[in-house]
Amino acid sequence: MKVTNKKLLVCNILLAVIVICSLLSVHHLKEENEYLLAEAEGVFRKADADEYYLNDGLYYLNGDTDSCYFKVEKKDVQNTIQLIVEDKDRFHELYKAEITDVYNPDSTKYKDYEQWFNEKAEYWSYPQNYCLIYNEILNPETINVGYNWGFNENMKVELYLSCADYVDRNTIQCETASGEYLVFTNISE
Amino acid sequence: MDENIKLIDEKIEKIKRTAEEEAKKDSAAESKADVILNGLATGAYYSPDSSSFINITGTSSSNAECTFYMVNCEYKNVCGYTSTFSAATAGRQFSASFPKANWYYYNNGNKTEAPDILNVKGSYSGGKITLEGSNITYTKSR
Repeated sequence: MKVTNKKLLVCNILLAVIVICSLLSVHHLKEENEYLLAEAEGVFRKADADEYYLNDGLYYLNGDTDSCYFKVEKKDVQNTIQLIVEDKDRFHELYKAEITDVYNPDSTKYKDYEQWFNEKAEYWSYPQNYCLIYNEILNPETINVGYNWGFNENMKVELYLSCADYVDRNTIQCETASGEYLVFTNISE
Repeated sequence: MDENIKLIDEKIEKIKRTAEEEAKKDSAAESKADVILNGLATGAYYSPDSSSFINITGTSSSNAECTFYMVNCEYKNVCGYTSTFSAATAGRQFSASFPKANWYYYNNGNKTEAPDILNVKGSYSGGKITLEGSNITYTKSR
């Protein structure tokens, strides 16, 4: 009888441990993105979300509503950014900046506008989750609008892509090959 | 092939040749001393099977350049170069930021133009470089 009680007790403890572990795992997965980015230390560090964030809205190149724009939006708990690629006529300035030859900023590389536009449209066909990230080694003063981040085995951000730099809550900018900046302003504010 | 990818390939080919020449000089004991950038020695660092490398050049932190040749991270077989590179003494870490015009990767075996600026980091110690996101340790050519 005593043995049976002991077995029962052990089983209950094991069961409790399994339940607690499962709950912790679910909780961990739920908050994974935010938690992991907050934990990123050293080289890639997440900017303080209370102080640094982008307001939802449409960020037009040079604040010009006839030009191309990023759509910044909070979806559920994720911050998202998407270059809206619909109207071909809006992209001439961005095209010119992007096809500048990095070896010779006065000339342009060969690339058909149509081809460039189609590639852009395909790449930005859906919004990207973004996060504001400092690169502590390269430029601690600049905050990147980072996305597509990857984590290492210690769950630290190891790599990310960036499409722009944060200027303020309604402004982002992209550096061109010739070292100039394309400024995108939220005109919804 | 895309004109930009061709330009990147040309640039990397030059760096590859220079690195190979330096390695030959090294073996003939003719090489000049490496430049040390915050503890990180310039030169070519190869993967164990020599199929990929990370090359660091420059005479100071302000003019350092970093080249990737067939480096695997989140993106497969990244090839590219950047002058936006810095090594930090603290923690012996480095970071590189590749402008989108300066790198490409392989997608289903095809060279694919970079979608945006690639930001990577790694660590270095004793003639070895480890890039985060890659399980490979790159070792200096001598």
